[in-house]
Amino acid sequence: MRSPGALFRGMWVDLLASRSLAWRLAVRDISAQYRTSYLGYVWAFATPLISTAIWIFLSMSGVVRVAETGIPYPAYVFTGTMLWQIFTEALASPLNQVVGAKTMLAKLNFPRESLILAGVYKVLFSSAIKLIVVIPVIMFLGVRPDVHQALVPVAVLVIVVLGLAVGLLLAPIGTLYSDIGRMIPLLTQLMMYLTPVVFPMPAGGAMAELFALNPTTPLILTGRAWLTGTPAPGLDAFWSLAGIGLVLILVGWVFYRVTMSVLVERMSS
Amino acid sequence: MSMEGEVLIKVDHVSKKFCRDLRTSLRYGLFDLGREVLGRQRNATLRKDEFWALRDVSFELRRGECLGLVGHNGAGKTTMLRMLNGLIKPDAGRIELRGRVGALIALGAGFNPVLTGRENIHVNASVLGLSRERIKEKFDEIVAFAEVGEFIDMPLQSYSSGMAARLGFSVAIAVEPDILLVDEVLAVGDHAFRLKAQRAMRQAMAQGTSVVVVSHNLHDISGNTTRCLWLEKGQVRMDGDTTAVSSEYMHAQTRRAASSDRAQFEYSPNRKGHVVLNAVKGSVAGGAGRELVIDDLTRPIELDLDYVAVNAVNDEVVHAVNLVTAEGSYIARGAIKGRLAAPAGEAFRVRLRIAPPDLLPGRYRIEHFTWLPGGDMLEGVTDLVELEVLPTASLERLRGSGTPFFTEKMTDNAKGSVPLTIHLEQSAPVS
Repeated sequence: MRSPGALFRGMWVDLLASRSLAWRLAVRDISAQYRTSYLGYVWAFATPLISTAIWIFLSMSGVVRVAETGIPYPAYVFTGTMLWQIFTEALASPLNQVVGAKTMLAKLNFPRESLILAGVYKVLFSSAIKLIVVIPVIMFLGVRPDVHQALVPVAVLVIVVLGLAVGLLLAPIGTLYSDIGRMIPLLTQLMMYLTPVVFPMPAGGAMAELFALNPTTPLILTGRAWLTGTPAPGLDAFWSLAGIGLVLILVGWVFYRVTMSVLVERMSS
Repeated sequence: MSMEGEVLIKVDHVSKKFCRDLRTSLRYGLFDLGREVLGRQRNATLRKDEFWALRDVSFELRRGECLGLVGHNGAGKTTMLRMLNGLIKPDAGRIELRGRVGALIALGAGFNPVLTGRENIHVNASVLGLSRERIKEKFDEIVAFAEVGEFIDMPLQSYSSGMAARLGFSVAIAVEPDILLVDEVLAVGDHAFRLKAQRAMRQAMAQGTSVVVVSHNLHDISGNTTRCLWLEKGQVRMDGDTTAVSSEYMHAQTRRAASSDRAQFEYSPNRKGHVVLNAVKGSVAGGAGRELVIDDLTRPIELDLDYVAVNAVNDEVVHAVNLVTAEGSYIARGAIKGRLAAPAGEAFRVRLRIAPPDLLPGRYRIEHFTWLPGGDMLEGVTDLVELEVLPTASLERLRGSGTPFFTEKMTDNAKGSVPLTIHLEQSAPVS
């Protein structure tokens, strides 16, 4: 941080140098992951599939009363949990990548950006599988094809950007203290219920205000609207979140970069 | 390639501190994160529970030179290497490096056991900074050097640990760095591969690579290095010519060992045990104790063996002495007859004087057995004393001023080993 010019130049140079390494690392992790797994790609959408099943059961049995969603409820839950899963994966990715590469970080000097970039590749890969599955499934559930579905990858990108931004800011401290890594699934679980993932926005009251304040709400709503061809809510919030996400990624990247040598010091060699 | 003699590494008054306590270390880590983000200087004073892992170390290394880092465990060698590798930053001082840095430190870091050797080469070479095109060019060379043969398309988990390490070494050496950092990895693989690895390193040096080697084994250091830096408790104890530094270092080692003299012997299992060896004191020109430094092979090694007779003995015996390398090869042996006589409970002393053969520098141990005429072993110790032969030890002999060796006839039918000349004296039982 003592010379910002050199810092940003270095960041750019290392990002360019990271591309092919990040690709290799992502391919390594993905192929190793699927080579040792029998169900393979099913795991990319297993979590949303199961939670969809649970929520359909809960609403059909009358245990939980879900308000009118406008589209068939199974399609509503499935799209919501899919998009939410993409967000949580992006959020956890930087920390997982750094913790998983501890031995490499402690012993080898390579552009540290490549780890984050490889994480992004992995998230995008698993998101692509999710999209390939989700679209035919919701068609089957009664959603009609729509031109807006072409915009879905944009929504996914913005979701990944925001998740990554938060994840990058958490990664350095999470590398020091494992508390952060344990907290992430708890908090995302909690946040899911403050986001219109499995049930629609409350009509009014304190809950409605909480939902509206939640930055992930516009992301999920817009993503689902485009997926199902229903009218999207105001896009202002969506695009400003995309902008904020990009700025936060830059901040998080600087944070990650300048703190890396301190973190490596505290890792065992 | 730039000009000869250009300085590739410049380490200028570098200090580095570490923390003893993990919890405190993490807390300081959090403070240091804040400092880095705010762009403040690193704190160059010790906080509670911190110590200097390196203190005010300076040196330079030029193109094609090889520097050996020696020192005890915890002297700061590996910390120095990690700083040269750019993994951690010094708390004070500066490090300037020119050119690409390669490290033979964590062989195969980033290897994935599920992927094949081929895939792992691609990943590992990318991590070490080789471009896609360079990997393609170098691929066959890497496979050939690693000698993994048809295993190349099998998952890495089916490799032996030696094979995986060889693969790691082959990738690392293929990077062709300007500065090569080596951390005791030359001990990888079998003997043939070690030689090949050493040759590859010397070739790299001839092509202008500067090498920094960390080792406990002074063999590695004396064979390859042009200069040595001896670190002790994080500070430079000595910096200079390899021979001078390694000889000083070994003397210090021996003094340390002598001060904590081992009392336990490794006994041979099938001994009779009528007499028990209580203590041994070796003495040579280089020192005394159970670990001896030999800096002149023309001088005899004198060993005083103090026994106590458990039962009364009065026998004609044969004293047999074997000289064994650190790796366990028998390279010299000799035997001499004598009479052992002592009443039960008495202490007595046997003095052996051994003229060492022309040994290569390195570590050896001496075994000693006392045989009864019937072929039974009265007493046997497999680690009587340890010897450290310095690289300079045979100089006197080469100058021709020493006594000629092999003066007496060999008295044992040793196959392929050199005869050892032994002189025996035995004191009367000490009453």
